[in-house]
Amino acid sequence: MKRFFQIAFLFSGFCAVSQEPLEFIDLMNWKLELPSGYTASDWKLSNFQKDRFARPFFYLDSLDGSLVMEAYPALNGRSKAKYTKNTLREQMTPGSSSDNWTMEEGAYLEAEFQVTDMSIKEGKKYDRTLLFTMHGRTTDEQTEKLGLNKNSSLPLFKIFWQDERIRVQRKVLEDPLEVGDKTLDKNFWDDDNGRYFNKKVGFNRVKLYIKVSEGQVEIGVDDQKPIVYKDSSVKKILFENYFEVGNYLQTKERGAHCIVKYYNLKVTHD
Amino acid sequence: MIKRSTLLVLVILTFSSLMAQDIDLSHWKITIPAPRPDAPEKPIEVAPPEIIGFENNEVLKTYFYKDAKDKSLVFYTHPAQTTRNTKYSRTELREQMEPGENNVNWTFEQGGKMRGTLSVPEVTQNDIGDYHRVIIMQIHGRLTNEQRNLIGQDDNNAPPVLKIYWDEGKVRVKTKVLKNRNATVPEILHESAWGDDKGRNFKEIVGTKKFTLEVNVVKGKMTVTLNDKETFTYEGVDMEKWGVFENYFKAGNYFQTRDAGAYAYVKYYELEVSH
Repeated sequence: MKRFFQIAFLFSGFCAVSQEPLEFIDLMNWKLELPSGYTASDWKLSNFQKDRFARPFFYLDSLDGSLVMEAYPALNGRSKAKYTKNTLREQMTPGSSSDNWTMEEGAYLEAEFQVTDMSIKEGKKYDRTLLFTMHGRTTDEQTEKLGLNKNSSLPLFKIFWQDERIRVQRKVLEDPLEVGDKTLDKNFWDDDNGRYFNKKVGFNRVKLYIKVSEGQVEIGVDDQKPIVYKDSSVKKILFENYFEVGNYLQTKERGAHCIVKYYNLKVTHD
Repeated sequence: MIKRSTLLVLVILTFSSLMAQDIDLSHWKITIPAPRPDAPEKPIEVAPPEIIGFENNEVLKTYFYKDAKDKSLVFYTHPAQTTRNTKYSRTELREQMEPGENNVNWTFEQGGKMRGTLSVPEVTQNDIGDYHRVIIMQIHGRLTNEQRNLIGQDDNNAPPVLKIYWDEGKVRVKTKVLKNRNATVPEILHESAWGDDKGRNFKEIVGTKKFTLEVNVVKGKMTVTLNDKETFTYEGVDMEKWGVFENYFKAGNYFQTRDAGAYAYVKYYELEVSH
């Protein structure tokens, strides 16, 4: 009898899986960068499951269909990033970073993720990881106008998993009355103090969205009250923008590690 | 009993494989990354007419052979013996307008067209997983003996005005630009007068699939087209001044690494040149 239940249980499990085919995240419009300095987009990224260089940090969980992004400092890595970077950079044109979107064009990002593992700093407090970023990037024309030799990027909105909660930190203009080319210069933007969403998300699955439209950025987490930004620092974003998503662990300490699973990730520009 | 339709398919298949033209090698010289027995500091080169018998050439067959299945010409290479002026190895064809002769070449005014169908089925990765890069087509400049003597250089080498790369599944095109746009002869005959442009990638991503590239130089204007769809055009001062050089086409596998254990395969299914 026990055996019968075992088989029935297995069978029901099988049915549950087969009823809902796993839908994998479409990576065509993303460029991956790993803690080792490895990068991949388009064709190369489409082969990530066969690529042994991607595997330690970036792989599919075949049971739940999630994309697993692991971050820990790579031995002999050649990443130029300040911390331990494992992120996907939005590429509207696959393989090209020069095609981005304006505030007017807008964007909607939706994601479902779960931090499943996080190291503890000096036995006291969890490390933190940067999950989502909205970057502003100078266009070629703006770059030339500013006299820079390459396009400059500025993380306008950063969304962290920090203290088991979701925290948003953004850039604000030092002088909100500033107009013209100075709003394109990184040096005229500062970090704000940041805001936490009230409820702890801990190691649970979380649904998050970022809705960008002209003069406004709205961020929502599960059923918590969304945070809306629509002051002059948002209205004066003249850059072209792109999203970065992943697990950018904010430390290079030995032994630090973090695992984030992504169950859903979609960006649209309507 | 074989059905009539099956028979028809068989006939068509046989006919089409007979129709598939072999690449005409009568105007190409091959270089492979193996040392010449008589001069080990140089790589082996096989020019027309000997190259025509490449399929029976024991020395070539590791690097340059016909794939029995898809009938393509396979170019295999790995870091080994290099040619003069270079640090990387190649299994690459060099155009010879006059078979067996390096001294007859063409100018941008005279023009030329190269069209190839190829694929890059296998390339190794470096220690962090970047694919090694391969140059699959080139237009190389060459000094005439007179120009060589004028600038006192000890060989006829001039820079390549066109380099087409397979770069992580993308096709990337690089050309040369004058560092000083007002420079004239003899300054522009020196390799150091020319720098690389930023380079451009075609939108279409080829990966390991078959693709067609056409390079066309007409009256000083150079175009590069991928799969008869997207075209890059190069003209203006740099191309005008490039008119001073003679040129030749190259096609194959010029491998851009010296990493130990690295290798690359390039397959050409079709390759044609006309002037």
